[in-house]
Amino acid sequence: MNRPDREPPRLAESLLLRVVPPGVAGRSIVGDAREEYLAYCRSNSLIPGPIWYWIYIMPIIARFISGKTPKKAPTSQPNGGFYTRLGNLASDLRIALRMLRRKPGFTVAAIVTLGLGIGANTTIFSLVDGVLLRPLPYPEADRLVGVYRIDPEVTGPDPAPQWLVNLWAVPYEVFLDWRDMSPVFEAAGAHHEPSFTLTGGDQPETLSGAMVTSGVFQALGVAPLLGRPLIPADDAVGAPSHAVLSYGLWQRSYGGDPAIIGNHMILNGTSYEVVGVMPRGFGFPFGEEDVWVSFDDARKTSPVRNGGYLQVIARVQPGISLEQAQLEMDAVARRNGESHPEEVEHGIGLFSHKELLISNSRSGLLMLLGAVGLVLLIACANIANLLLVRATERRRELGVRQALGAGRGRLLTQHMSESLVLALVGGVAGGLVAVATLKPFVAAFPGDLPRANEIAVDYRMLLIAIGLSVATGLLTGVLPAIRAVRTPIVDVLQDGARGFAGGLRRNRTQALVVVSEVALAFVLLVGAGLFIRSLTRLTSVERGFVSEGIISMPVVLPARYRDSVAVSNAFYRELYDRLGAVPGVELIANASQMPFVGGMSWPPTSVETNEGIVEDIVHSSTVSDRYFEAMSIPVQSGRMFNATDLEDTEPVIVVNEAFAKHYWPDEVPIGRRVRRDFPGDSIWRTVVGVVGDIRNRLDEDPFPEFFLPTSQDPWWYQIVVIKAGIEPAALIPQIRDALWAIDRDVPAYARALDDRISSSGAVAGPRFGVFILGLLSGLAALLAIVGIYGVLAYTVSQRSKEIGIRMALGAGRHSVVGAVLKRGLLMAGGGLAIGVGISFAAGRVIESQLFEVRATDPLTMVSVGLLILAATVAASYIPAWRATKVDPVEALRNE
Amino acid sequence: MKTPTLGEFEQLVLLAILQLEDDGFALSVLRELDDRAGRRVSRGALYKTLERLEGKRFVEWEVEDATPGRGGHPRRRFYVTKRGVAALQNARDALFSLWKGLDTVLGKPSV
Repeated sequence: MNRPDREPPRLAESLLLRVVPPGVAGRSIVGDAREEYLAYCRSNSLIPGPIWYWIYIMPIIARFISGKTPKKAPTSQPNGGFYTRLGNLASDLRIALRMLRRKPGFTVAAIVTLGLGIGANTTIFSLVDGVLLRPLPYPEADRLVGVYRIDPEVTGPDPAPQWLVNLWAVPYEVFLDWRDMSPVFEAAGAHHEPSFTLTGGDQPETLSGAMVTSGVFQALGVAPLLGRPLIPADDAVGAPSHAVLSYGLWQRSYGGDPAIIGNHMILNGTSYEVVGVMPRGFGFPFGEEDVWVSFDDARKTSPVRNGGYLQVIARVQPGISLEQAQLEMDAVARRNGESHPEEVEHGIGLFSHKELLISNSRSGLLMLLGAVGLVLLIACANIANLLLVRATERRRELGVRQALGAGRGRLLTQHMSESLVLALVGGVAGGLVAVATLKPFVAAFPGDLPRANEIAVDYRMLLIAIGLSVATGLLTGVLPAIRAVRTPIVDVLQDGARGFAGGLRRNRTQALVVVSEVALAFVLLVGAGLFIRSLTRLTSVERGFVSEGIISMPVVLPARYRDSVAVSNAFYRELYDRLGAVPGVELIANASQMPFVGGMSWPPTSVETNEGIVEDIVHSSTVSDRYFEAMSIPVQSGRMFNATDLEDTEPVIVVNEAFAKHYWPDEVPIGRRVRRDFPGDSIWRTVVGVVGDIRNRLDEDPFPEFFLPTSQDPWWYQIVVIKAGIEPAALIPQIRDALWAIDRDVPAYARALDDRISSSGAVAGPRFGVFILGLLSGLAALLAIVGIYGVLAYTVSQRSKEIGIRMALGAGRHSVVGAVLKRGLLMAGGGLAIGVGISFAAGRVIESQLFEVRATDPLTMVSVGLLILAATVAASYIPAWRATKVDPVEALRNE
Repeated sequence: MKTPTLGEFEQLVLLAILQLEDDGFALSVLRELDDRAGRRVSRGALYKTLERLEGKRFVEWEVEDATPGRGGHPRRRFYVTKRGVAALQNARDALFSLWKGLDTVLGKPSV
């Protein structure tokens, strides 16, 4: 896996070069390190080379740094030269380690807290780095653009979601025009992602892949590992069908055999000759593809110019900016409008390829990063508070040392070294946590995380963990250190003599830290609460159909069934006969498209209205007569399809309510006519019924759609819809067997509709949000409550004498408990006030992820607030109870 | 001038270089120490020791042309100076005189 020509990390090598002796001697040491590095890389070991190199050089560097300390350090100067300070640092670290060993409970708790905090942050940071920050894995990837047909009236690219919905795919003919007319492209290619079924093996296998023109490979600029990519000759009409394999498919299905080049594979019934294998890690457009094939002649020669199914990627000529290229394409669009007047309103838009890939994921990832960042902040605050307590306890010691002449800088570093040691050990633990969790986390990420295949454990992750540790160390250490150093010596010594360890000021600092913890925890809890509300709404939204007991099975027939409708119809007749005989099957229907099964068709459509014929793009599907019955979609008026709707009877359609309301408001839709403007299929069809609206996505309102009967619009692709009288899972194997009894080359994608809905992006995303934010906010709240408890418990223990005196003077238990509780509630209340402010300000970040819930939802805020107050009361109870147990006599005796 | 004394590890390094004859490169010395003496030595320690031995003028080195895979960095071949050999002899004599007559206590040497 490690390439032999690898270079060691440059930073590490230059660091080594700086510490070794100058001249040949030092350079020979660096050379030795390189020699061993290469040997290591060739050995294919587990630890990635760059990390190994860092580990390798660290002891050498340490040896040369420590060896440079002069034997006789000038101890008379406390802040002497660099080496003295280095020596001081070493002794500070030793002292810090000793202090931490002495309190193992505290140390372990702090390291676990920091380890989890730093680990979670490192994982998410690596994710953000891999997806958002890193350049795409192509040479000069910033020159790659996506080219789309756009409506120039819609202004872009801000705000992002708006410009994303304004991107339209194009047909092949239009792509050819763009490619040939635009001088700004070095290369341009079109791609399309149909589903692929690989047959010829034991069982048909579904592959992911893309149909591409040679320009895609030219634009990406990645050379194949074996053979060749697709070349311009493959784009010619009449060229043989060629395929390029991914490294993964080559290994998995062909055992990595180099002799695969020249062999044939059968995809969707067509035989493709394998001409090349791409290197490991190459994937386009989504990253997980198995195969790329040339376009077929039918697509290459299609004269259609409206609608479209192709996306175009291009590499802009070097030295031309995106803006210049856009201007050039505007000119191309104008020229195109002259030769094709019907397209005069179409614009051409260029968009950064990387931006297109990642813009949908950005807000979710940043939200996640913000959430884990907040948890780490809270963890830091808690540890800072604990260290603050320790600092108070050590004030006498420090006061004495200060009196004896130790400089402030020296005291500061000594204080800081303790938190730095904690943070660095926590960082090591965090690094391990991150290495262990990154891959599972990426795998569990819902929906389509772009560039998921590029996210890997590497040395950048190590740098992130180190950076986070140092930041954490500074964050946790700086407050206690400054506090300790700034207190005047006299105060310390006198205060200490009286046995009163805590002044009011220090308690105030501690309280402020806790207040900010509560505020941050509130923000996270509100986030989690909003996602829970949003998810509840999504899953309980009125869908317009009943999914329970429904099994859907898209059937992709091999090419031999596609020649004529008679052949595919015969197949389906036999399939339905066999399925009807399976016990437990109540009802069989079919559809060309249905909610949550994928694929949507938006044909150009003409609708007869009172204002004349309206041309529009409307969603349509073709369904059998019992489809509405199977899905429990109610008929509002007119009738469903039935057995009298045949190929040779009057062409009919059924529309949904949204369609009827949109085109024929306040009129009777029955009897109106609609036409699908497909080439060779432009006949008027009469509306015979209106059915209820259904949601095609949970988070999307129903839109106008119309339905054609299967009998009048048959095709080789159908989704078989089965209503089961028994548990769907028990029926699926029998359904598959029924299919395979006819033909084993047909892949069986049978799945319960409920499963499809619960794993659909609209549900999976929020569910993941609930899970992650629930976890993080729970953790944050726990830490904040522990913080409140810690401060109260400490205050009570510090004030036991005062409390004792008060009680001796007649104060009742209630007033003592009340005082402690009041202090706790004041901290919580302050935190809540700030938290509400932050939540309002930060609401915009998550608003786009929510469904029918405002980010400022009062119910969520109030419930979270009450929850925190209740937890505060619980956390205050123990210290309050302890305060009442103070024995006045004992307290006074000490005084 | 009095010859500086030799530490135990310094002795091992000098002996390894002598054993290696013309192959006295730092990485070879490491391997030699591991193979013959069973000592796994950190790189840092070895480089510092070589530096010290050079300071005591017990070793010298010459520059070997860079081999591929060293990023253009040179290679040093170490050899033991006459002074180094003399120091080793001194050390051996001192040890032998102290070892003498202790076979009954320590047993016969295994090598």
